[in-house]
Amino acid sequence: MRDDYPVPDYVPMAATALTDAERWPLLTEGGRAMLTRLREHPAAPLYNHACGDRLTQASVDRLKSYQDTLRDGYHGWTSTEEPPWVDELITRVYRTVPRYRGKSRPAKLADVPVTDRLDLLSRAFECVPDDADLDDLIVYQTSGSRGPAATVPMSPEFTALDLPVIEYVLARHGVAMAGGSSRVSLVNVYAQPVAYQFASVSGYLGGAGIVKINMDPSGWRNPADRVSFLDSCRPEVYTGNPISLAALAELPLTHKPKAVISGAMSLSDTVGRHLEERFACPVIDLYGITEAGLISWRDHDVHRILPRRLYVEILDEDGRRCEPGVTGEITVTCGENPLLPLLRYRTGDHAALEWRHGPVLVGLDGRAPVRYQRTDGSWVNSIEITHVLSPLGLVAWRLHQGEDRALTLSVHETGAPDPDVIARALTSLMGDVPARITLDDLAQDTKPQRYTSALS
Amino acid sequence: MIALSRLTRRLSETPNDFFSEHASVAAVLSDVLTAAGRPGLNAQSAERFHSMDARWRQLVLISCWLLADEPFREVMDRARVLEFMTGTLPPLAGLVEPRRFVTDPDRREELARLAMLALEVMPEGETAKQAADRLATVDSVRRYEVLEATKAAEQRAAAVRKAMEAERAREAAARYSQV
Repeated sequence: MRDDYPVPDYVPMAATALTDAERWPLLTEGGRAMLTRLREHPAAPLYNHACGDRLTQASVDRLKSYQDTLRDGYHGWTSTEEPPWVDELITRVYRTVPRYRGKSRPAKLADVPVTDRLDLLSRAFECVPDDADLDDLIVYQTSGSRGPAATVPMSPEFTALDLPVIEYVLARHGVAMAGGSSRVSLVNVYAQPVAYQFASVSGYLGGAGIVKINMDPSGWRNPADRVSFLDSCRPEVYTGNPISLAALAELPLTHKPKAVISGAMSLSDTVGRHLEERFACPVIDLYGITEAGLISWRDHDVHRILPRRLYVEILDEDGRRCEPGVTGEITVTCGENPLLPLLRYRTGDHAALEWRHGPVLVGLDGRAPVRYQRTDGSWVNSIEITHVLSPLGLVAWRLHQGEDRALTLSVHETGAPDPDVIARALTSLMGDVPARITLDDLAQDTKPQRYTSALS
Repeated sequence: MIALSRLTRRLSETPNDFFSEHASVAAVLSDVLTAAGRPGLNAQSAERFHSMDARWRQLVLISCWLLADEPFREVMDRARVLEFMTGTLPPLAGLVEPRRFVTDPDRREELARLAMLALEVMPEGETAKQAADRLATVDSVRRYEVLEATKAAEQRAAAVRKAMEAERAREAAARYSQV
């Protein structure tokens, strides 16, 4: 672990607070054995975090029955009508969520004001319903790949909703995870200078192993351990993002997973095909946001919206609904996160909505990764920039690299620290590339395109 | 219709007898009712006025003086008066020291308006909406409820902030996909 990396959150094991019994309320003998196997593996990564599923039996039961919810389809959402649950959600939110309290409930969704990440960033505590159980509250930072990184409250059960949803999508590709405590079901792969690494087990998957790893050699005792550890885990599924999965594909791994799942950024056709050939399995491109969970999966040339209790609108710059086929901002309404029910939440991503045996996103403009070049010619990914800038508490920023390699960083003026402090954080990653920092008012731009470059 | 100013002036002139610890509330109230030609209290209806909280008792006596004013006689309704005395006044007495309904202009206006509302008589020169709006601005119970709701909201917001900053929350739970 590099000790000079300017991200205080990543001090090894400094972010743990629970006992194993609290991390895994349903831990069985088999699950315990799997955990020990992963933790004590001679080629294991340098774990710097511990993380469980925090699921009770009641949660697992509800997650199992969520398969029925997914099978039910679009819950009354048709090409011409909103699903009826939207109306109930509006009523519930206006009754229980502080930021809506005292305001009169609009008669229809189209009259509900839109919200976005800036709202959430500045008023997250006003977005948690009065009747939500705070004992069940956990938080995540959004990736910050678009707009400012925000702290998002949710429940462990909502986090684990990914599993039945992933199973649903895998089934569309003829793949089923077997689970069970003798198997590692899923390895979540990152490729960053530093990232959390931990071993876990899933109560939902019968005690199956779950591992989060970082491809960066600094996260391992020996870089060759990555291959021996992963081939020994034999995971059913790898999940990651295009950058980390591309790095994974470079390793001389012999194990072939049942499927590879990509998220967080757009997966190009070229990279997708390369991964399919390399791992000889389906490669699935998922799109979602931390605040609402998984939203859609790529089905040939469209992104098919998942049949969750999730409603998607496409809005133009003035907040008006776009006609089918017209590109605008993807805006979600979803009550499935009990700590953060969302009404008309602007995602910052763009697509058109069409109806092809169900709602689909066309031309999804996901969060394409942007690379920045150092003076020695090496590249830095925009996610790493987010990691050094986020701890400074910046509300929003825009970073551009010009053709002459010079960086221009425009930071939202409210609450911004001294430009010298920002410059030092940027220099810690980018070295001696000339950088100009300005403090500006970015509030007009509800979702600034955070990263742009004339070079990549 | 009754002129508000007449009632507030009357309250400001409440005689000392109505502050007496020795006065019998049931007897005074019976007098107010019978003076308006309505039946007084019987043994059963007088029962609830025998052992009273001191502040409620004081406020009922002040209100008896108010309702004994001439213009109220015509609109006097026994059931409404009893509801006013036993339903409206106890929470009000719990929030406001009763003497303030004599000494403080806003509290005099509040009690006069509440009495008119209870007996369904309009303040002179006001529409129903104006009367309701004006009462809302001097309504102690409503102000207390708003303050309590504000306090509860602030406490909840602090609890949510604390929960979001807790290390337990930040350890989080394993995630299975990248978004």
